[in-house]
Amino acid sequence: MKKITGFLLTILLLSCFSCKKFITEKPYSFLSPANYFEDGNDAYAALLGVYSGLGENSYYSRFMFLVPTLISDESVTITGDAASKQMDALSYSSTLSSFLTLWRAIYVDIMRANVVIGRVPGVPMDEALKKQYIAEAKFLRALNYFNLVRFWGEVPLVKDEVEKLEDAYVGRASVKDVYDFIIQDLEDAKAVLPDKNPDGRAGKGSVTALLAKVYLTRASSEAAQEGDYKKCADLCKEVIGMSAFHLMDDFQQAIGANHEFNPESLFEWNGDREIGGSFTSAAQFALPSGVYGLVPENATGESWFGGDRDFYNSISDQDYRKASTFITSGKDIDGNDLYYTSWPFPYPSPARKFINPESTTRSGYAFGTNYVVLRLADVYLMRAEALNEIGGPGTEDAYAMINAIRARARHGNGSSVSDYPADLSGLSQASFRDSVLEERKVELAYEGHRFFDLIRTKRLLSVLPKAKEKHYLLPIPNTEILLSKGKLTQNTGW
Amino acid sequence: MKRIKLLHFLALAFICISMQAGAQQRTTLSGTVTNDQQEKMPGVTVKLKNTNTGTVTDEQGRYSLPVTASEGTLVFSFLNYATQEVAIGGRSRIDIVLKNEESKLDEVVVVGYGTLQRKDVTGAISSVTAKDLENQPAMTLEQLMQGKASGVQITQTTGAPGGQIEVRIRGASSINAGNEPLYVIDGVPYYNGSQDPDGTSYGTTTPTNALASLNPNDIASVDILKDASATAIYGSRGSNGVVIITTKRGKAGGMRVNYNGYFGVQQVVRKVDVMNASQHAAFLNAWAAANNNPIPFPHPDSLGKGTDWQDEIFRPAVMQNHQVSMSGSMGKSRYYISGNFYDQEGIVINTGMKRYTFRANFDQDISDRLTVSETFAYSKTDSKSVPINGAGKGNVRSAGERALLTSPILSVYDSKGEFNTVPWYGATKFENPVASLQTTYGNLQRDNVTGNITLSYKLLDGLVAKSLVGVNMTNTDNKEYYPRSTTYIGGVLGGLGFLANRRVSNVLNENTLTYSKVISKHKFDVLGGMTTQSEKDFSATNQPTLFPDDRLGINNIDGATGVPMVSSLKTQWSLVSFIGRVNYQYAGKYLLTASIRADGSSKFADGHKWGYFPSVAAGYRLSEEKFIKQLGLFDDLKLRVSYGVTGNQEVGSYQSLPRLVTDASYIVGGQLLSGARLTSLANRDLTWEESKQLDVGLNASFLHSRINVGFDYYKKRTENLLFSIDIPATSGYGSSKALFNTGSLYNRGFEVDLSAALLTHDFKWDLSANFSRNKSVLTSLGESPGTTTLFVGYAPGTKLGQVYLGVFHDQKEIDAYGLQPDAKPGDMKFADTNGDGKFTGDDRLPIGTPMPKYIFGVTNTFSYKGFDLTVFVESSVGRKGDDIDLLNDPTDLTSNKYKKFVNIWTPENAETATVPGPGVSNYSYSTFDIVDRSYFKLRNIRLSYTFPHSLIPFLGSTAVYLSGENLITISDYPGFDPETGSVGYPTTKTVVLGLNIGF
Repeated sequence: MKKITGFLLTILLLSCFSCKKFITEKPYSFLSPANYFEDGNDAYAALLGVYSGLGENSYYSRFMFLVPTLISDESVTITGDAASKQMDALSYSSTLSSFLTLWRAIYVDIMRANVVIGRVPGVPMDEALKKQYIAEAKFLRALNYFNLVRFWGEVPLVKDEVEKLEDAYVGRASVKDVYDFIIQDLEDAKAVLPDKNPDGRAGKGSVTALLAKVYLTRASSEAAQEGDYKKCADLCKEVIGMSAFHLMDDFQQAIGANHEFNPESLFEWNGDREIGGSFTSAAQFALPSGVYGLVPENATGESWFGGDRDFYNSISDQDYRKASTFITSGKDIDGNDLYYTSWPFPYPSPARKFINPESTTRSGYAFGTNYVVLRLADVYLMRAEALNEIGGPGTEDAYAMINAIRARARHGNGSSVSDYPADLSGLSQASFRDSVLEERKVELAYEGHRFFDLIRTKRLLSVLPKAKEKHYLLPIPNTEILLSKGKLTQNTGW
Repeated sequence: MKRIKLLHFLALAFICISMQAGAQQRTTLSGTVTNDQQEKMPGVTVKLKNTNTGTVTDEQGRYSLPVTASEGTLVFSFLNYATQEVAIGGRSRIDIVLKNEESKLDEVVVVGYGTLQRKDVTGAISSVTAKDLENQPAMTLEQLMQGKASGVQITQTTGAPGGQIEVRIRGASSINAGNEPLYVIDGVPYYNGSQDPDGTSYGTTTPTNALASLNPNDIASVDILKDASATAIYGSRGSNGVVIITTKRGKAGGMRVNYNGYFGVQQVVRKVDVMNASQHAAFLNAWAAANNNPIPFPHPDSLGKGTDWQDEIFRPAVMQNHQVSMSGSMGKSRYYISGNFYDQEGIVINTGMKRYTFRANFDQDISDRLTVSETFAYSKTDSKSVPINGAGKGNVRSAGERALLTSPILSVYDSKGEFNTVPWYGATKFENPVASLQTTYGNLQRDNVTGNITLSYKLLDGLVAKSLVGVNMTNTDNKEYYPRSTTYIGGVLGGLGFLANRRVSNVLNENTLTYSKVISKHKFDVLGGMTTQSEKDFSATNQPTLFPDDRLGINNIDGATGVPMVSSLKTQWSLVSFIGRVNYQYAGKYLLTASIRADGSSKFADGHKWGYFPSVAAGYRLSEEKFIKQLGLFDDLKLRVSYGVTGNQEVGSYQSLPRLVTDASYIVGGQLLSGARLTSLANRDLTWEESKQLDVGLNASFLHSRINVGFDYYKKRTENLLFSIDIPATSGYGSSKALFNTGSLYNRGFEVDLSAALLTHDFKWDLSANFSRNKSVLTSLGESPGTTTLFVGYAPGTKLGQVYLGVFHDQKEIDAYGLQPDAKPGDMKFADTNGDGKFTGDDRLPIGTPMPKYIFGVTNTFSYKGFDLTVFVESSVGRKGDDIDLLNDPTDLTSNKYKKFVNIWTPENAETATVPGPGVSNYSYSTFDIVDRSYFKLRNIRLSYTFPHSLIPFLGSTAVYLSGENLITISDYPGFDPETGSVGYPTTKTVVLGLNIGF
C-alpha cells in the first residue's frame, strides 16, 4: 500500500512540475509575425499579401466597382439587394453596410502595406529587392489612401502596423495631410521602381500615372496647391513617353479579360477564378438574367445591375465604343433573338468590358477578368484636362491628347473606319473641359472612374438630380464612429 | 458487506432450521421470484412468518424451503422492494413478483467525481433515468432529455438526421465562448463542440451533433448539475452546467439478454403556406410594375397552382432501430455488452443517416481492495447529407429554403420529361431544387471510439484511491460533389468537389483520493485530486473544381483540372486541474459542501492561465427536526443554499497570440503565389470568463414520498465575458474581431419540479412536471461599442428594429399620419416610439426575444395491468424572432413568398392591402419581420403493452409499443417548426412500432 501511495504522490508531483509546459500553447498552423521575416521570400510573401488584399470581395472584387458605379449615373440596380438600391437611389445613410465593408477592406490593406514597410527593412536579403518591395508597398498604401480620401475626405492616417488596440484609435487627418502622405509614398516608390514589373505588380508606370491622378484630384480639392495641374500634366507626359506603354490600336483590345496586361495597361489587379485566388464578379453581376446565348453552358447572368438607360442613350450609336461596352442582344429560351428592350429586365448590360468572349466555360467567361485600375487612355485624358486647366485648350498638346483617344475610337477594329467621333478643335476652355469629361465617360465607362470624375469636376449635382451637396463625400460608416471612442466625426450633412 | 453478513446469518439460520426440521414431517415449498420487469431476482429473503425458517433465492431466482406444515405465511423481502406476505394455502409452488418501491430519497445521484444519495444533495441537480428514456425513438440523448428536466432548455436547431441540438442550462451565460454544457460521459469530460470537417468555401457545411455517436439505449442515467455548488468541481468548464452521463453496467446475477427494436415512419412536421404559381406570378407582375419593368405574366391565373416544392422535396421516410444487449456477472466480473443499428431515412430526398454502435463495459474485482473498470464504445455514423446552412449569398441553399423559396411557376420536368433548367423570372443563382438535391452527393462518415480504464484501490477503510485514463477519438470524413449540370455552384465552377477529413483526439488522466469517515453524528466525505486533459485536432480539406463531366464526381478527382483549394489545420489545447471537496453532515440534518478547483488552461495568455473556482453549499433537512416530524406531513423537507464561481474557456485556441498565415495568394505573371497576412490582434491579457451563481432551493416529499416537489431560485452573473468585440478598422483587422474579457450579463430564474403518484392501485397514474423560467439580461458591454444584437438591459440576440404599424394605403393616410412625409402609398408605416414627433432611425427599439420566457414539460403515465399510456407535452413560451427574410421581403423578386403576400399593396388593391407594396421605398428591419415562436407540442404519446409472464413463460419481460413523436404542434408560427425555424432542414413527426424482448 505504501508503494501505491508513493506512486500516486510521485505522479502528482511530476505532473506539477510539467504543468507549465503542459499548458503552454504550441501553434502548428500559423506563424508568428515576430519570427516570420527571415529572408527575401518572406518579404515577398508579405508584399503579395498587400496585392492580395486589393482582391478581397470587399474591395476590388466587388465593392470597389459596385459602390461608385451605382452611385454615379452609369448604372442602376435591378435584382440587387437593399444596399444596392439605396446607393442607386442616393437614399443611403451612414449605416449602409457597403460603405463599412469598403472602409474596412481598405484599412486592412493599409495595414498589410504598413507591415511590409515597417518590417522588411530589417530582413536580411538582397538590398535592391528589399527597396523594390518597400516601394511597391508604398504604391499600394498610397492607392489605398487615395481611395479613402476621394470617398471620405478627411480620414485617419495610420502610418505603422498596429500592435496594441490603443494605437488603433486614430482621429481624422486633414485632407492636405493625407495628400502629402500619399504623394510622399508615391515619390519614394517612383524613385525605385523599374518602368514595368512582372504582370500584376506595380512599376514606375503605375506609380507615375497614379501620382498624376493624385495631383489632378488634389488640384480641385480643398487641399489644392499651386502647380498641381502642371505636375499632373508633366507626369502624364512622362508615362506617355515610357517605351513600355502605348495605346492599343483597337479599343476592344484596350481592356477585357482576353486582353490582360496589354501595353496600355498601367496597373491592373490580377484575378482569375480558373487560376485560383480571388476573382471579380462584375461580369456575372452585369450579365442579364433570363437571356440566353451570352454565357457558355446555357447559363445566364444575374442582372444585379445594368446600364442606366439615359446614360446608354446619351452615347452616340455611331461610337464604336458604345457597342464595345454594352451587350444589347441575346436570345430567349426558344432561341429567338431579342433586343435588350424585350429582355425580362430591359436594361443594356455593361458586361462587355469584363467578359472573356474566348472562354468556353462560365467560370472563365464571367469570372476571369482583372480590375484595371489605371490605363494609358486615362493618362491621355488626364493630361488633356490638366493642360486645359493650366491655360485652356491651346496649351501645348491638349488637343493632341483627346484627339488621340477619339482617333482610336474611329479606327474601330481596323476593318471599317468610321468618321465618328471627329477630332476636336477651336473650343473654349469651358467646352474643352466638358468634352474631356464626356470623352472620359465614353472611353472609361464602368471602369471605376465616372463617380470620381463627377466629384473632381464638381458635376455631381448637375448630373444626378437627386444629389445634394453632402453626396460629394460618403458618410463615415456609423459603426466606425461608434468604435472610435470619439475620435471619428461625421462628414457634413450626414 | 451487510449483505454478506446477512447471507452468513441466513445460512446459519437455515442450518439450524434444517436440524430442527429433521424431527418433524416435512414438505418442500418452491418457486421463482421475479421483479415487475420480469427479471429473475437472486438473493431475495424468503421466510416463514414468525419462525426462523428461511432461505434466499439462487441466481435464477429460485428458492426451495422445507416446511413442516402446509399452512402459514411466507414473507418475501428485498432491499428497495415492497415486502410481500403470501399465505401458503396448501400449495407446494409459489411464484412471486416483487414490486420495486425505491424511494426518490434513496436514489443515487451522480455528482462530479462521486455519488450521493438524493437526500444528502445540497446542489441543484436534475436526474433522468433510463426508464424515462426508454421506448422513445430518438437518435440522440438530447432529444430524449427535452422537457424532462427543469432549467434545461433543449432546442433542435435542425431536423436533419443527426443534426445539431442546442442545450442551454439556466440560459446562455456567455456571448462568444461556448454555451453548451460540459458533458461527462463515464467520467470523461467532453465539450459537445463541432467535430465536423469544413464544408466547401461556398458554405456547404452540414453541422452534425458529435454526441449522436452516443447510443441513447446504452445510457443508465443522466444527472444534470445546475448550480455552482454542483458544477464548481468542474471549475473552468462548469458555468454552462454539467451533464453527467453514466452508461449501463453489468449487475450481479445471471445473464440478461434484451432486444429492443422499432420501426417507424416520419413526415415533415408541417407544411408552410406559401404562394402558388398564379399568386406568385401576380406578385412578380406587381414587382415589375412597381419597378417600371414590363409585366412578365400577362395571364397569371392561367398558371394555376404550379409546383408544390414542399411535396417534391419532402417525402415520408422510414426509420428503424435494433439493439441487442447482454449483461450480468460471472464470478467477480460484471459485464454489459450491446450492439445497435440505427437507420433513419431523411424526409428530404436523398438524405439519411445510419449508425452502428458497439459497447462493452466490464468491471472486475481483483481483490477486496482493488477493482478495475473498463468502458469501451465504438460508433460509426454514415450520413447522406445536404447543405443545411444557407450560405454564400444563395450559392448553395438549404433544403428548407429551397422548398419555400423556389417559385411554384417552375415545373420539375420539362416537356421532354427532363429536369427543367429554365429559370423563372427574376431567379438568381438558379437551380432546379429536385434535380440539385437528387444529384448532389454528400457523405459524412464518422468513427468514434471512447474508452476508459479505472483502477480503484481501497487503501484503508474509507480511503479510496482512484486513477482513470480515458480517450475519446473521432475521425470524420466529408465528401461532397455538386454536379455542373444540375447545381448552380457546380455550373459556375465546372463541378465542385470536396474532400475533408478531421481527426480529434482527447486524452484524460484523473487521479483522486476519497476519504469517508463517520464519527458518531459527524459524517465526512473528502475528495482531492488532479486531472489533465488535452485535445489535438487535425483537419485537411481539398476542393477540386472543373471536372471533365459529372459521371465520376468526387470518387475520381484526378481529372479535375481547376486549381484545387486545399487547406490543413492543426490545433491543440490542454488543461491541468487540481480539485478538492468536502461533504460534511451532522446527524443527517445539517449538510455542508465546499469545493474548489484550480484550472490552468493553455488557451489563455501567459500569466493569466490559472483560474480558481470555489463553491460552498449548505443544506438543512428540516424533516429531521422533531417539530416537523410531529406534523407527520413530510417524508423529506430540505432547504438548500449555494454560492460559487465557475468558468468558461470554450473559445478557440491561440487567441492570445499574434498570428500570421500565408493564405493571401495573388497571381503574378499567370502564377498563383502565396502571400502573408496577419489575421488578428493578439490579446496578451486574455483570461477566464467567470460566472458567480447563487441558488436557493427547497425539496419536499409528502404522503410516503408519493408526492415530491422541488423548487430552485438562482441568479447567475457572468463577468469578464469572453467577448469578441469589434475594433476600429484603423487597427487593420477589418471586420475581424478581437477577443477580450469585458462586459457582463446575468441569468436569473426559477425552476419547479413535481412528481406525483396520483393513483397507485391497479389503475396507476403518475405525473411528473417541470417548469422553468429564465431571464437573460446583458448588464454591460464593457469595451465593446455594441453590435446589432447586443443591448444593455436586454437579452443577447435581441435586434434593433422599427415598430411596424401597417401599410400606407393612400396619400391621405400619409398626410394624416404626418410623421413620414417622404412615404409613398404602399410604404410601411412606423411608430414614433420616442415620441419626439418625428420618425427617424432613433425610433428603433430592441425587438424580438431570442430566448423563451418560460418552458415546461408534463408527463402523464397511466398504467393498467400490462398497459401503459404515456402522454408527454412540452411547451416554450415567449420566444420571438425573425425567420427566412426573403419569404417576407416585398422588395425581393428572387423567391416565393408567404401566402399573405396575395394581399400585397398595388395601386389596384390599395384600400384592402395588408402587406407593403413591392415598390416599398422604406423597407427596413421591423416588427413586420418578427414572428412568435412560442409553441405547445405533444412531444410523445406512447401506448405499450407488457405481456404477462404466464403468457410467454419462456421469455423475460416483453413489451410492444406504439409511439408518436411531435404529432401535434400548436403555434402561431408561419414556418415549419417554431422551435427549429425554417431556414435549414425541417423537423419531423414520427410514428413508430416497437418491440422489447428480455430473455
